[in-house]
Amino acid sequence: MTSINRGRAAGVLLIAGAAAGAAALAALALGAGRADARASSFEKRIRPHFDHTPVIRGPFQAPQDVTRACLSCHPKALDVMRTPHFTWLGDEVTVPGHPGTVRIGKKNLINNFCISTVGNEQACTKCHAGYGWADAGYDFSRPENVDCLVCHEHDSGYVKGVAGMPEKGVDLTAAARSVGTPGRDNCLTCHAYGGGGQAVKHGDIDSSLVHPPAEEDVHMGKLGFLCVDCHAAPDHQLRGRAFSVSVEDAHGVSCTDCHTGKEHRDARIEGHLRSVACQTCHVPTFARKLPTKASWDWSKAGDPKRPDDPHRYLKIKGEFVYEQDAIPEYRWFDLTMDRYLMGDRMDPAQVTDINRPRGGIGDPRARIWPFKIHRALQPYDEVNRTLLPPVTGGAGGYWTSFDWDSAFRLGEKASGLPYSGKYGFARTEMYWPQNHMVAPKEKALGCTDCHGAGTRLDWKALGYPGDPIQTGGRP
Amino acid sequence: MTAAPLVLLTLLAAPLGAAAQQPPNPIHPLFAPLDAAGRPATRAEDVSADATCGACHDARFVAAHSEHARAGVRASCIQCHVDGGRLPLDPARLEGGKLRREDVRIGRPQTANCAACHGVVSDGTSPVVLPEDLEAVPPPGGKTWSLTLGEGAVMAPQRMSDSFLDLAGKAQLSAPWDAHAAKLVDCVACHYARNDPRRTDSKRARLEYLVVDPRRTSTAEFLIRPDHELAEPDCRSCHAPLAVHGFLPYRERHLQVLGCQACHAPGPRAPALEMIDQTVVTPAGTPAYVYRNVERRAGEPLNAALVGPLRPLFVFRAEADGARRLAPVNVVSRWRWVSGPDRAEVPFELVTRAFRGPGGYSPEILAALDADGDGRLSPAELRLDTPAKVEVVAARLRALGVADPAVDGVMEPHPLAHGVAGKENALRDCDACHGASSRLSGDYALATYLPGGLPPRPPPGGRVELSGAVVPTGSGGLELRRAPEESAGGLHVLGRSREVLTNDAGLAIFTLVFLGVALHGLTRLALLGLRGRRPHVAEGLSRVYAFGRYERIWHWTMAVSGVGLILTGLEIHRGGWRFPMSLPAAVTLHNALAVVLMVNALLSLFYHLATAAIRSFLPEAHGLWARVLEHLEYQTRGIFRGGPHPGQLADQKLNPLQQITYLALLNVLFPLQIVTGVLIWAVGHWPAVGAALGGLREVAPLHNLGAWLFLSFFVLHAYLVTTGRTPGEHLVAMTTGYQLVPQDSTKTEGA
Repeated sequence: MTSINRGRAAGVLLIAGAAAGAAALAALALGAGRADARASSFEKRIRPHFDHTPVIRGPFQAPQDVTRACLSCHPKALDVMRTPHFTWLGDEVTVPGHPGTVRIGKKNLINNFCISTVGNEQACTKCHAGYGWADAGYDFSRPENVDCLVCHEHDSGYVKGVAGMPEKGVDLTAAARSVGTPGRDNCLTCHAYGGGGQAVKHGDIDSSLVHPPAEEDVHMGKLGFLCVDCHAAPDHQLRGRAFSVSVEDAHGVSCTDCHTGKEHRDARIEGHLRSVACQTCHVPTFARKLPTKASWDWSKAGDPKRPDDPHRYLKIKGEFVYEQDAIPEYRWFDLTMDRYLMGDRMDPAQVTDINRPRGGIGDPRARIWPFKIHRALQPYDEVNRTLLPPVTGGAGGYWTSFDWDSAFRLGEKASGLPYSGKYGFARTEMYWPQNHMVAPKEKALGCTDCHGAGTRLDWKALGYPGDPIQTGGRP
Repeated sequence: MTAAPLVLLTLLAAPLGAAAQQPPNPIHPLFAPLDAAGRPATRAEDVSADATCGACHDARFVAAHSEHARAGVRASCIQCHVDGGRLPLDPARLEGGKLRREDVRIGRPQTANCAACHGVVSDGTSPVVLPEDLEAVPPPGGKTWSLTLGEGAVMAPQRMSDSFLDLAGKAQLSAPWDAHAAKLVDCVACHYARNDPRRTDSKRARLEYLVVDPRRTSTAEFLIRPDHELAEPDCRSCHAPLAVHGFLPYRERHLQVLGCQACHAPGPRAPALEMIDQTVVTPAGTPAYVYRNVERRAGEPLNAALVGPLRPLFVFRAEADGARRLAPVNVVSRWRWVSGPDRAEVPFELVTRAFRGPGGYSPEILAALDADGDGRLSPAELRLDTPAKVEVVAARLRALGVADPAVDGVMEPHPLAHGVAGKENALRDCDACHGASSRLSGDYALATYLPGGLPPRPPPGGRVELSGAVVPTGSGGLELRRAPEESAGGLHVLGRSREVLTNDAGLAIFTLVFLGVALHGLTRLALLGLRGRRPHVAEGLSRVYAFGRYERIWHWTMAVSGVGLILTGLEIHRGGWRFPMSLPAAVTLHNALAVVLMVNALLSLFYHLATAAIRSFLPEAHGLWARVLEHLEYQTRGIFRGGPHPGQLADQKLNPLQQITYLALLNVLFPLQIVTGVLIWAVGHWPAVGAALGGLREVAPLHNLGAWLFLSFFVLHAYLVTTGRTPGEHLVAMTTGYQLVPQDSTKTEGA
């Protein structure tokens, strides 16, 4: 036995032993644990919240008193006054086809549902995160006008009414004591009822998402997500854009915020991501539980003979078509929108797009997206060639007078948009990209849903020479 | 049965597998439908494909080159190439005697065309259901349903969970019925006309040095004379499996011996038959069926019965590229009445007439078969299981004009090729073949009972080889019995296969050693007590540094890797052993430990040569025999009486018994295990090596025998460690390096 190679031999042996050990561990760990690691990254964060019962004394005479009480401890919460939830206006943006920059939002835009908030503030601001917005003279600078409760209360007895004021009989103290992280029910109080009723507008957002089954929405139903898990709001500036009022996607929420990896084991499916939005396959249908409004014909309103049926005809609103478990329509979309602004000239012979996704097959940033397209016949000025914002609620409004002329004259006064006295009804379309109601992966679309004969995708309309399974994808 | 009307209603309401539409053909010439006499046809039934299509296409060539034109098969151009298999012929819609463009829905056969005869095929727009005439035989129009009832396959892109069938574990079956259908690979994508100029293999003769022969039939020539002997390519015609199975241990070997379907058709989900008994007629007017994977109450519609996964039989079968590979088949045994010297099948209509009488079964049939006399024939009664019963039916057939009626049975193996699972749903469980309940062994039912007492003839020498013994079961049926540990078709399957001779010999040696050691130890215990103490030598003891650091590292590395090899080896040898490790993990660890052991062995060999320590292992020839006897004497007698240990020569650490043992170990067993082990490993990486060795059949049993010898050595070695002055003495010495030796003696001893 010599001492010369003893150390070296021992070293080699140690290395060999370590290698064997590592191989053994690797072999044992094979396949285990990977799935768990992935699942945990999706787990929703639990936010313990301070129980406000002991510190909220009450009673409160006015809802503004609640806000003052909130602000006494949370002065920074005033940030909310700069956000669209309070201002109903976005940041300065350039709207394609329009000069300069403008601030647009619910406050000054036209849609093809209830058409416009201008002149209708009393009714519309039921969903304003503030108190007392009844007309154009509303003071947005008063902190006590912020409505903290609508987003933060968990009392369920809190109901807003005219001009965003709580309805009579609401127990403000109980509501104030129940505050916490906004739950799905808080957000859906407004966002599920836009357009004047349950599930009217979005297609992918309705009150069924308060307690959705897993098949309806895998994030909220299976994994228990709250809205604010994705639409995070560190300073009340919520992430996420609604393209019904937005023309670009700054501060937007995207699937890839969380799903960052190579998500599909099949390389062929993974290759689709170049041209297809996640939502296209993973939101196979919308309005899966509750029907949503597909079209709205204002020209039929005012007929006293037709019976009212909220899903078919209302005298004050006209004729509707609702659809359920509906197949989306597919368009290229680069996350920017064309937008009709109040006063824009339109051609009544053509379909006017209230908003329209931009991008085409030649645009590498554009993906094929699923849309709910809401189609309407809505009033326009035959002389000025503009869409008209009628006043519907209140004295002289259409819903009481059933006189369009009076409604448009009131609208002219409120908006400043000239009204010639001659009106007609023109076809309009509004595009709602579908993001929510993500189905479990087992229900995602398969090849044959889009490829092959007679499928939901019109390849030629999208600019392809034919079904890309035969002709190849875009370059 | 209360649910039956409801089920029927639902069945009526559910459209049967809506057909994929044949679109109007923009370039097919407009033509006039003709009848057989060449006159303009006025009714769809009168249209003659030979006359109409034959006006341009060479109908005679097609008929001469088409499996679909064989006797008894009634497929026509129209059935396969026209939308819905039927030419729309409304004289009012003709223009100048010719079909309008929008009515010329003619082209390559659509899935629905093939589905009309071959099985359940659906485009997935409505839930997959089984058609009501699935069990009617003979199916109208030459249908076979072989795709579904034979293979258990449904060709549909639909997720199984969305189908109408009652499938076991349905909620979790989110895979499509067929991965190809789901990806729009239709029937003719694989079963194409062989001289289609678009296909690279369009010429029959292929030369090794030609990848593509560019001289093809012209398109025009092909359209006039398309060869309808359809291609039957295998998976490898399109897929390159080597490129995508990186996760698979022994990838080359697996892909060499396994057909793709072995893993990718792991357990078809549609009802698949075990046997068809066409010798009898059920109350529903069909033959009697026995399914392999269906739990069905009497009278229950197949759509409502619980369908489980089919467990196929693995057999060797010749694939399109000529290779023999293990692949799953479903063997269906079929009995029918045959007649005359040429044993032609008696039409089932005649059999039905033989069974039927006024208002149900004929009285003669009832008298012969109705054992319990309740006027009805239960499935158990409706069997021609005695010559007398056969004769009753035969007599009635003779009365109907059938000459020499006799029962005949034949096995029809249906290779599973459809209903393919994509990678997410393919078989990934190694134990399915390598484990205790391997699919490669075990009994496989061939028939639940034998109509006419007649075993079915094995399949005529075709592409499928059944291996195993066909034996009757206790309940009157028939099964294929395969020895549980026998190598399937000459394959050695790790974890499953045993070579009886070497395995048993190894086990016997091990058992002998173990028993010997146990006896020896117990005797010592009985005679000397727990401590097994030897009397001290008078002269006190001194502490000697006997085992250097390297020697100890070398020894313990060898020990750890050896024990690890034995444990992982046992896991590989006995798949599903009580050892928490998957087969791939065990193989990986076994290989890693083998590398450690080999490196350790090489280094220590170098050490022993370089330091001359090798001398310890070489017995001193002079007086060897006497010393061997001396040691044997001690081990067999002295040790029990507490006698003195003989010790060994001054310059040697090992006694002669050890020397002989270690010489054998190092010169025979080590090389044997290393060489055989490396070869087993090589088989997985170089298929050529595997082919030269004939798989693992020769090598693996040798390795197995060596492993038993190693295990025996290990037991013996571990026992002899305890035979020191105290039971722990040698263990301490090999751990610390220090050994107690008699002071005046230079003799040492070791284990």
